[in-house]
Amino acid sequence: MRAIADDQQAALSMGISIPRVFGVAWGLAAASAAIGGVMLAGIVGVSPNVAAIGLRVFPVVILGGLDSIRGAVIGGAIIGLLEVYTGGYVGRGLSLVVPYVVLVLVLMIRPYGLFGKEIIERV
Amino acid sequence: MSFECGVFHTRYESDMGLRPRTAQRIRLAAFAVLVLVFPFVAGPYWLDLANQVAIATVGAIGLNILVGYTGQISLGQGAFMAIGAYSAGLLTLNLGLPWGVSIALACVMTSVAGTFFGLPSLRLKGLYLAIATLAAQEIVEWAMTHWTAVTGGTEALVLPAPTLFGVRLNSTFSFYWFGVAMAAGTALFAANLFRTRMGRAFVAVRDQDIAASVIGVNLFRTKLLAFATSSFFVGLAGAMIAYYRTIITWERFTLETSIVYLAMIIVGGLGSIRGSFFGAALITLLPALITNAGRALQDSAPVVANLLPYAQQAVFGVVIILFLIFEPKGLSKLWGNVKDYFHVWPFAYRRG
Repeated sequence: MRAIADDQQAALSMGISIPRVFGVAWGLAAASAAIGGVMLAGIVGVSPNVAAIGLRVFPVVILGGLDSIRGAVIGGAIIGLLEVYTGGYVGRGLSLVVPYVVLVLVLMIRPYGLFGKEIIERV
Repeated sequence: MSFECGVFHTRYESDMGLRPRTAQRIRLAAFAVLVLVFPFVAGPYWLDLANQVAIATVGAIGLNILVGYTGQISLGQGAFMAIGAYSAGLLTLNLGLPWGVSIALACVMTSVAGTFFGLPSLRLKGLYLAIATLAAQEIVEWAMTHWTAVTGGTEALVLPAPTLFGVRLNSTFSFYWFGVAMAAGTALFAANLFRTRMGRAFVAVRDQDIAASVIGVNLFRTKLLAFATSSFFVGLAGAMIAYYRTIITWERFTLETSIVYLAMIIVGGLGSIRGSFFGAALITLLPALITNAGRALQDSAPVVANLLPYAQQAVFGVVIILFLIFEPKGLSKLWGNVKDYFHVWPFAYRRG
């Protein structure tokens, strides 16, 4: 997977099956998202609105760093707590927008996030 | 202009012309006649759909300038349309400006806002830029619903009906002419834009930004200009919606709107003006066609007819996936294929 992320053609010439790895990656991503979905549904109940949380993962992974598992865990905690605290102390629906403000700030200042590798696609 | 089989230009004027061939002019004239006759034969239902297509065309061309021609992905289409709609509405309601002036100012304001949200594009691209514009969308959506002092929150803004020479402009018939004029103007501007140095710089940035900067394209200026030009028309589309419906609600400008517009330009063809129109027409008419198909099937196949309303959203997704797999260049390419076939008919060029 890392080889393909780095350079698809080079990985292909090393005998790695790109469709297979992509399939496995999508499968794993969907499976872990499904676990999250099952847990979330246990808290808020099952409805089409559960999908809305899907967008909330972007601030988390960007803050943590796109290729870092540690980043995802810590980023998730930071964004989640930030959301709850602004909801509790400031209120007025501000908790909905705080993750995205953080997202913009992170992208401006430190696009690779807290724990991501510093090489990202930049202009 | 691309090279076409069997077309030999002997003068520079014809080589550089917008529609140099007689067949192209005839098609344009035929389309113009169709557009002019349509409102007199169509009922209010189809006129309303035509107006929606006109608005969507303006918005899709705007988005295509940014995504299709300059290669800067944007998920903030809904937000920019909202800025256009709310600016147009609030300028009229709070300052009492006439509707024409507030639409023009709304376009300029959206343009400025678009440039601001385009600033991250100078440092980010691809996935990161998409996420940055997603953040812009969410922040604007939040401002629409929670900044009650300015936008009225979740309450709808009600605008006075626009009038021109004493004629109410927001009836389906009179708005049709306004909408068609705006769509035609936008299409003409965009078609000409990509024959200028600036427009070609947009395309150069899309194809290879490093190479573009090497040959002297200022990336900073070009990208921001692309965002500004694109948001200008997106804002126009938003302002048109505001004055067509005379009611502005935030539900019209959610992330879903952004995705629908992206779908339009993907289905229509990225980097194509006529594709923007085809995509806008198809995506706008698809729900109506499905509904009509449901009504038609009510008697003969009630089972299918009852399922169709549920299928609507699924069909939307399926259409996008089918286009991405089978014709990534969209309806614009399909139309091009048809034209090419008849252009050299009966001596069709066959591959293989």
